[in-house]
Amino acid sequence: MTDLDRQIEQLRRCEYIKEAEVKALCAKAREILVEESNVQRVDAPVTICGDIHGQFYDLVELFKVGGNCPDTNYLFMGDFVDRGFYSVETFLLLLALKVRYPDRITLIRGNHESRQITQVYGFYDECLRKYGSVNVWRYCTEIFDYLSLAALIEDKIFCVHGGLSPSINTLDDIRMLDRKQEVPHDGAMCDLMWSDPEDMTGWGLSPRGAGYLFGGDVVSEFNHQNNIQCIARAHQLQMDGYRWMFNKTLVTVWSAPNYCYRCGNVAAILELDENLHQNFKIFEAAPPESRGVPSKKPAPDYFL
Amino acid sequence: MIDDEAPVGNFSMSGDAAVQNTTEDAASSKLSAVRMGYFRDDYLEHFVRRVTRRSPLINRGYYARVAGIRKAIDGFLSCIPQGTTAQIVNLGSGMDTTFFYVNDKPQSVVCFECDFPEVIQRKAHTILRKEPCWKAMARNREDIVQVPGGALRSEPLRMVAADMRQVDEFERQLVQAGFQDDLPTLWLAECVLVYMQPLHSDAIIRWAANAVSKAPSAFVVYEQILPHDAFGRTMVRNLQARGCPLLGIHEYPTLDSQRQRYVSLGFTRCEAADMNDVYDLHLDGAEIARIQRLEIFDELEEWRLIQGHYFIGVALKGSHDEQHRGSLSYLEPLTQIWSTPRPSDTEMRFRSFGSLPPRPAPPPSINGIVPPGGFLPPSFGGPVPIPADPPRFVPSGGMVNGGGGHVMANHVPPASGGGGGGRMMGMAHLPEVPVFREEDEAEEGSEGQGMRD
Repeated sequence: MTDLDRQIEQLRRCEYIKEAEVKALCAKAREILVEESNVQRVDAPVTICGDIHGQFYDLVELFKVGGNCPDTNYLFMGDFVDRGFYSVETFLLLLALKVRYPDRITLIRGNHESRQITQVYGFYDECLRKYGSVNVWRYCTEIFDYLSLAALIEDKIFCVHGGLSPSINTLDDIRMLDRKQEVPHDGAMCDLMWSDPEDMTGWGLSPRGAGYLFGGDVVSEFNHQNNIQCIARAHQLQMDGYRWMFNKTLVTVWSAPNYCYRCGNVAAILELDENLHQNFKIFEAAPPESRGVPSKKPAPDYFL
Repeated sequence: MIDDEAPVGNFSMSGDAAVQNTTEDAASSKLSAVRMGYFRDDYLEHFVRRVTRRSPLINRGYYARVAGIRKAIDGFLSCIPQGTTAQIVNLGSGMDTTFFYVNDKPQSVVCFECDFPEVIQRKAHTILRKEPCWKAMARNREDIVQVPGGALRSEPLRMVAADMRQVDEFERQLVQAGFQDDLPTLWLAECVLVYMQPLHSDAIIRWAANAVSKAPSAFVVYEQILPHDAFGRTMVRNLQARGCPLLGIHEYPTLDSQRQRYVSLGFTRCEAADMNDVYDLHLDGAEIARIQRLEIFDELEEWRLIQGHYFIGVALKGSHDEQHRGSLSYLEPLTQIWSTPRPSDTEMRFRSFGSLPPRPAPPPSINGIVPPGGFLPPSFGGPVPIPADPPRFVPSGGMVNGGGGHVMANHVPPASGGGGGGRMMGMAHLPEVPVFREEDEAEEGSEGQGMRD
């Protein structure tokens, strides 16, 4: 068994690997990711997944429902880290699978794959707590800069974490971006990771303070111009796991069940067969007994 | 280290003790918001044992709660005729600082703080140790009377140590503490009644509705509703696991049932709004604009969910005497508290999202497409909360190339490389990052603060 296989086994048990191993893993991942396009081509069949947010045991559920990697070809649309209790194990497992089976798993970047956001929403704190230093956080956030910005399945399904940008008309506009940087506060790269679809016409200000709202006409124009059928994206909690919009030209996929251990939602993954026929699989949060040894983990926050 | 993803209760104490402990969590969370600059409270820090940084959603939610309750209190006090003393009875007061808030006002107000003896004793102990606190009660510490059971009494603040579920005994103690039935009175119950069996909470409301016979009174309540949807079911389960089940939520699950509750138990009418409406329509617009710049906020959908599961109700009752029967008298204006939305402004177009960090409008679009390069920087604007252990790290410069575009408080901006998607933008200002005491963080750190929501 190679070191990498052993690490994958370890990570599958939700045991995090040594700092030196993280460093080496990230170095190998960088070699692979640097070769990938901003708009990474992906072959069908493939299973599309939305936000995971450090909910490791729910990722295990996802693999139970969707099949193991490499048996199933996966596309994860970002937001691997933050919010949940196991961002380290979650991201490192996905990254290790990427290194082990580079053609069977595609990872694109979400708005939480960012130095700034991870300092607010948990990944930074978790790295510091688990490793006693910020080195692992630094290795991981450096790798974030290499993740693709989008994916294109069989030239027909465009996948991105957030959505469209008024600065982008064509896929080539995205291909021309220099992605190897922190997620900026504005501009095309920011918008891809922050924008949201909205029942409106044209563009609107986003209540998130970054990215834009975009309407059905924008999607229609973009899909037409780039000869694609559909946009698949994540980024917004869906209580039913997924949501179609704009006459099935855009779909939101959400893969973190009972988000933040508080929202009570189910999760979904979207399976596309070789003919791009769609099949959603819905799953719930992992049952408590599968979550390992209970500890004094605090309850989720409410206003008390 | 083995962590556990599932939230499980970390209380092995009795139900009452777990409920009593909710005040610690509330005070600690409110202090997190205070330190981030959401609202001002100069006294809260004295009552918080452990300082923890809370997520932006929790900070913003406590801001909305405090601002909403203060709006109700201010509205009540502004109705009181000059020269008339008002009473505020804080039911399940815990470590709440409402007394200090109203005590700093010029009006004559007598506050009654009511809670379990254990909670009252702890608060009394703190007040006596902290000079700014006891000075609010009396000029000289010797002037503060400590009654058997530990409660403190002075002219403006009267503590009552009692189990409110025993209404007769509670009433006896309240009257003994100087409660009068002829002064305009505000009852305040923040996340208190919902932890009781409806049998008990109804008895308290019924009694309160009749306790002030010769002046108008108001009952202000903030607590959870909607236990039946997916979020609500999870909330009920999580709080049960925490040892403080929402015993009353199923009896009064909706805004309407809450309104009816107060009327059927003796109040003349009840105005109620969920916290989405309170925040979107009734809090000060300039303040909302200010606090939305304090932190990055990426919890919009959750924000909608959680705020929809809390409400503020304001129930009103006229005095019983012949002259005022059926009339709310000078409290009449409070009937409008949730009726008139604040003046609309351009940002309110987006109120259905509850969050719009203000930023300049994009330039005029041509055929719906905004010319690239025309954007003005969005305003995350506020302080980027930095973990307590000040990480003065710098990302290794070689890794971050491209056009930069990100500027962080503790990061050296990368050298501007070759173009890239982002434009260099500087934040207008980076306000001082709130300081959290390291030892407090260390204790909390092992439990994953920052990820608790």
